[in-house]
Amino acid sequence: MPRIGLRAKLFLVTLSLAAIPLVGVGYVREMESLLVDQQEQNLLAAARAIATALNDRPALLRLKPQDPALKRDKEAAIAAMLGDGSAASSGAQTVAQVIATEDTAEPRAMSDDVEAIVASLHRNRTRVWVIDKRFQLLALSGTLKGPETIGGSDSSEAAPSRPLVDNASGALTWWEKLEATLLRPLYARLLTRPTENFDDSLPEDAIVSGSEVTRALAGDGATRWRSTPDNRARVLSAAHPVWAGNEVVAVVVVEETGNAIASFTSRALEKLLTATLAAFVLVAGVVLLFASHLAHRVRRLRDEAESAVDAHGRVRHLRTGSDAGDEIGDLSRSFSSLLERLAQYHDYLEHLGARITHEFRTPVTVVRSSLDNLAMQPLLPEARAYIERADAGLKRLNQLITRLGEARRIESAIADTPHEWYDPCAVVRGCVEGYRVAYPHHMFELQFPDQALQIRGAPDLLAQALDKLAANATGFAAVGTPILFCITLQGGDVVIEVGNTGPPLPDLPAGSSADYLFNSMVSIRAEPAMTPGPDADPAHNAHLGLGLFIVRLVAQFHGGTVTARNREDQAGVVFSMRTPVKSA
Amino acid sequence: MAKRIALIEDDAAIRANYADAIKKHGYDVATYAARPEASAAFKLRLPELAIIDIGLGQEPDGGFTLCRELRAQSSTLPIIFLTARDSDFDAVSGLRLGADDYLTKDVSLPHLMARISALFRRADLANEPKSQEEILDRGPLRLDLKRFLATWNEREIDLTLTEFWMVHSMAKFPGHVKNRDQLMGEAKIVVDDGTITSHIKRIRKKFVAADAGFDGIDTVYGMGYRWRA
Repeated sequence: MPRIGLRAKLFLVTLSLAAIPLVGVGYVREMESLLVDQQEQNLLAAARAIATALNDRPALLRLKPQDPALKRDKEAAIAAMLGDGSAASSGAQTVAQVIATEDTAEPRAMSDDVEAIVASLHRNRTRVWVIDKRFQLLALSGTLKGPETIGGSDSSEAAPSRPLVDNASGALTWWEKLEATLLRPLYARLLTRPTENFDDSLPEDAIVSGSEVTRALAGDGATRWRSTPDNRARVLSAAHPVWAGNEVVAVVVVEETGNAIASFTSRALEKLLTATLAAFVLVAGVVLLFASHLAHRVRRLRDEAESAVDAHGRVRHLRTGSDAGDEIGDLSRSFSSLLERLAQYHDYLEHLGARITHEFRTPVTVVRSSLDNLAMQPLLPEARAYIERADAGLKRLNQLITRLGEARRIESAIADTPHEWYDPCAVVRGCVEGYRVAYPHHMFELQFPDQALQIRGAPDLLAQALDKLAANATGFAAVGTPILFCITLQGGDVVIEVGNTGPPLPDLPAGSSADYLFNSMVSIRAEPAMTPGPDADPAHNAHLGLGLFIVRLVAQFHGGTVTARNREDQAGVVFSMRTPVKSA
Repeated sequence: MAKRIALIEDDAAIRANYADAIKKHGYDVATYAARPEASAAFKLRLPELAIIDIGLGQEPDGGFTLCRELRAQSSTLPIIFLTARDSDFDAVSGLRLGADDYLTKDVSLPHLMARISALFRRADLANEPKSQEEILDRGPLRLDLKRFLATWNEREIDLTLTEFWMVHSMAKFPGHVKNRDQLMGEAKIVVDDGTITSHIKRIRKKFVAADAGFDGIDTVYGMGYRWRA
């Protein structure tokens, strides 16, 4: 299970905000199609208006004779307009031929009157042309491009950013800077802005084969979308018939690019994107802040809960629950009350030993003083034997009671023992000397390095821990096998090892940690299989599992750790205590 | 006339047993179960020795209060604390209040009797001229074995009876290591090793208070303690 933080999760949730621009895009597209409809209607209306002006005026629609010079000019103008300026263009050639053939029949020119009417109804960025039934161009007016872009300058593509560039010397707001550096390039990638730099020539097939022209000749107004020859813009053309009586005599075609709508749409999309991006950043920021706040609170709660309970499961200190009214506050409060109950229980357990010691002492004292009094009486020898047995039992009981309180006493002794630097080798050497006397049936071997070592702690406590380890080792070691005390310097640590031949470490209960043996009140001994060694003190037969716990307390006091492991040959165990050494 | 010992103990069985034993050794004994009745009796007549339990009935520290009152009345009256508590803290508090010894209740009656007679001896001899002296001199250390007085460089060290016996046990043969069992035997107590350690610690502290450079007691780790020759 990968670890995903609360923040990351909430951030992912925030991504659902991406649905908003999607809906917005749909809305803009809808509006775009509405506008396109509108444009078609408008253009058709314009065509109708012009056509209406030309209705029933057949005279106007007749091509008039023209002097050759003027005709050449027109020809050139039309050719320039229709083709791309080169006579090689097939469209231009065709139109030239059309004009030429008509010239041969009856030299005529486009009607100035029609042009005047058309020009009077002209709109910006629209092109109007009128053809007769034979697809002869009667009039042509206007251009698809805006007035400023005539002449086809490529700079028009940079038009949207021009105001910014102009203002560059002046003070730009941070938002404008952001827009210029971040958003514009992004939009340029995502959205295609309409360009004014397109080929606005009028191909011949547009005139001849346009479906709208065909339909207009049949008597219906119609519209059609087509691309410019260079595919850079879409052109909408609306055609409307011009009637003379019941007969269609000409067709008025009004053309306009879709650029206005396209640029409106792209502007709308830009705004939409900007707005949603801003909203997203804002919401994501707020959510992140909120998530961080939540995560911080939960983390703090976790840290508090963790620090409240130490490695032994003891409740060290309690925190009052948060007074926040939400679920985390609830959790904090329930944690705190849980810990409090746990602390009470642990307190009870910890004091149980002390209380047992204390409460047991009184009845034991009653028995002891009674026995002592009895011993002062003249007694029968049998009675003496009983008193001695009772006395022995009482001694054991006393030792048990004393040992119950031992761990607690050591803990309090540790609490008010000052740290000092000392040489552990001297302590171990002294202790081993003592053990040779105390456990005459065991051999003790000692290995230590030549150099002087210094560790920080208390020699008294180390000696006490060694006592426990020695008692443990003699309890398990087979008679005649050596117990090895070994001091080595490993890395920055002094390692004091006590090894003995004997049964390997017992299997630990499932789920217990490696240092389970060193916990308080843990004693794992295979009692029936164990034969007490000759040095075993009868009172030591009762193992309360405090010895190794004390060893651990002492190791911790020295800022170190203690571990137990089986020897490599599985024929014995090694307890090692590792404490940091004073660096030279 | 028999010496009069006051025994303040809230447990009836222990009280009776101790009273019997004390009587058998030829002392008079007055027993009290609670602090108020004991204080009232002491206002009328002081005993010659008091054995006080710390926890008295409803008063967990009644024994300390009583000790303070007694000390206020007499600075020489021997006081022994006898308690089921065995924490160092209690021992230190008790001794600071001026008790002459502090015993846990697992002390045997013969050990208790040895203390009582030793304390009486000390009290009696304190008033007598120093005629038949029994002195142990070890450099700056001088032990008056009859009065149970220890001096270091002529300065008196205020040791409890147990502490005095321990110092004597070590100083008798300087340089010889006394293990814990030997110390316990000589000090007439049976306690665990940790208690011996804290006794030694307290003794050191008392000597250091008189002479900051004191290092007369050597710890021989794993074996015991010895007096530096």
